[in-house]
Amino acid sequence: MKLRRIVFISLLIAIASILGYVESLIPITLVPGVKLGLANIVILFSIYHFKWYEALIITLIRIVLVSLVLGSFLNVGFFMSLSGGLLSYLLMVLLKNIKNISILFVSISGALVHGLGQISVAIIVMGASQVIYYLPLIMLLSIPTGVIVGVLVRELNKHIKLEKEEIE
Amino acid sequence: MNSDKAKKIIPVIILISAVVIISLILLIITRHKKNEEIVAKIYYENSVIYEVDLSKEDDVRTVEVELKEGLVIKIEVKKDAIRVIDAPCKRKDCMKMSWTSSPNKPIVCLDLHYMIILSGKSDYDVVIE
Repeated sequence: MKLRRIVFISLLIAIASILGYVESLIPITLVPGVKLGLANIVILFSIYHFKWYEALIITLIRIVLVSLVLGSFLNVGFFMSLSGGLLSYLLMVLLKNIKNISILFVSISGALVHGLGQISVAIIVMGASQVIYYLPLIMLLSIPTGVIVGVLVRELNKHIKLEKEEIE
Repeated sequence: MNSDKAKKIIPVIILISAVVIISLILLIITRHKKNEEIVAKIYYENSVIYEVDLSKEDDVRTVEVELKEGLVIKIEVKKDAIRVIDAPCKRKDCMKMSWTSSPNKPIVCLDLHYMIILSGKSDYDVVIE
């Protein structure tokens, strides 16, 4: 991996971590723990511009760093972020490679699966199916957050054209 | 709209419609029957540790509930509503949720593993004393 590429990835990890921290300060009281998914902007951007494993590295390091900053490392919140983050990453990588699938579709699906992953961990940890009451709300909220992230990344892709030799 | 754009936008519209329809169906399924008497139950580690009939509350009053030894949360109850005003958890999500008066809006604390769930009295299958 060339130095320039490592620097790019490090920058993206830093931006994703800061966005992840900032969004934790913006509470949405409708459903506990629901966030805007700003860090997903970076993850989606990296999926489109970097190799799959590099985007995975950014996702994993972002989740660990943000949980360390918030003091939630290895507790329930961490595993919820991890499952949501990994599931949405996997789905977004798969969808990205399908022809005629727009970035908006990829983004909304990612947001949707992120919520599903989190709620599954909550149900397993709490051992109570009552948490499932949040599912419809989380599903509905994933549409605006997915659209916002998708539109932002689409605009980013228009303006930031990384030349192949620039990052390789 | 050219055909290329249409090809990309149609799956998005289908996805959004599907999510909205499924969410609405789930909302209807999970919504409890409207009961006149609302009972709030506090669950800790899957067992009920405190129960209060909210329909009988007239004024706002504060109750301290001990989840386990040394772990106390402070709740406030009033007519048909309940909220957490103090809990020794990190995120304070339970406090941020404020008043809840619907079975569809349980208060869940992932830090301390407790839940406050509202239900009508008619939900009881069996009463053991």
